Amino acid sequence: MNRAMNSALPGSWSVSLARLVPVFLLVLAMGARAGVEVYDFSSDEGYARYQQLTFELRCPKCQNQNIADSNAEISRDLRKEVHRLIEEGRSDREIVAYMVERYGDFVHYRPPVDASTLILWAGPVVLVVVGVAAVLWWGRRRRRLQPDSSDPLMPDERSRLDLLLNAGQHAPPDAVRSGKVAPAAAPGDRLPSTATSQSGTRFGSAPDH
Amino acid sequence: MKRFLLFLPLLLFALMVLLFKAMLGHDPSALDLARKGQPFPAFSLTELRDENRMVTHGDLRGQPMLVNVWATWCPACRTEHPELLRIAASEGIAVIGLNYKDDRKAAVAWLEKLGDPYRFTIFDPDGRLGLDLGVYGAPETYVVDADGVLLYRHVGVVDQQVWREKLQPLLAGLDGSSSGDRTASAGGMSPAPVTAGREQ
Repeated sequence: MNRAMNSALPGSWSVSLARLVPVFLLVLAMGARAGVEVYDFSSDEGYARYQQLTFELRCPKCQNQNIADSNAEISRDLRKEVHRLIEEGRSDREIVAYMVERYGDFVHYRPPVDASTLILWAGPVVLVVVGVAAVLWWGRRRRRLQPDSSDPLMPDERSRLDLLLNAGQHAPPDAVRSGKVAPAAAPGDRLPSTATSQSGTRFGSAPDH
Repeated sequence: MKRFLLFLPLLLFALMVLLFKAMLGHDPSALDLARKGQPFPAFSLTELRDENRMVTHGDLRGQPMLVNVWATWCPACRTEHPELLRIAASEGIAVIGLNYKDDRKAAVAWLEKLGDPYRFTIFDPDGRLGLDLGVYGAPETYVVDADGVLLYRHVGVVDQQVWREKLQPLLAGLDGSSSGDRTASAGGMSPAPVTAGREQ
């Protein structure tokens, strides 16, 4: 189908199409350029401030993008506004205040300390303090309850271990030797079923004491 | 103490349920109105249908009203349009349009086709007034009291539920009640601008 159409074209047609390629490319390039705003700054310092401010101001529409990154319509407007205010000679602080007056604290990535943002600022510090205090308290308690420092186990852990070891002694010798901790888990044993279940029960109930 | 610990998961679960319930209707992307309790920002712009007529913030006084930000490029504005028509026609509330970053011809054609709920429409092609208001997307609907003070903003479509649960209670509190009631219904706004010029 395509082939047929191509062959139907007169020779001069394909030549002029080839000539048009640069024009097509130019049109494409113009389209790409239209997406980027160009601002002229009267000073390099103004340009640097523009970069800094658009990096710090947050797009109200897109939640977690600064207005420099965002393609939202509102970010475009705010960039334009930042440029205008810089060229008017306003200070960074004034420009941020201007935006906050209209869009609230949300528009700035550094929220001020007040009652509603206190948890943001103080939360991490409080958590660290609480965590350190808890670790210290635990350590102190351990030392107090453990008079014999050569024993790495707490007294209650020691008694529980004793209990477990005793339970192991009552288990059938071949089951323990073959590495099966719980004798009940060895179905192939030729032992009487009562002995297996008894030692198994004892082992199972041991951790509760 | 041990017994109490057994109930801890249940307590935590109950707390989580309460928290979820409290946040269920909460839209984290809706920003609070930064100018709440402040006068409507000053402006002087042309009227949409009549470009020789200037409208200003002085025209937004005398009675409680809704200011609806809309544009023809905004699909959700079309969704809420019938409800605005209904509010203007049967609820007796003045609805003012703010045509935001739009084309005058297209906007007029839209109103001709879908009906015009607005007493008048402020034409803001550059979005300057929108920026001063803190508009970040259409549609938005602002509640303005009789003294031209901004009380509330609804972001998104105004439908029956929004009218019934948010706008109507707020506007009902404004009509013919004492200024004390009004501050209560406005929910924590500063009372200073509201009480001023109340006796009229």
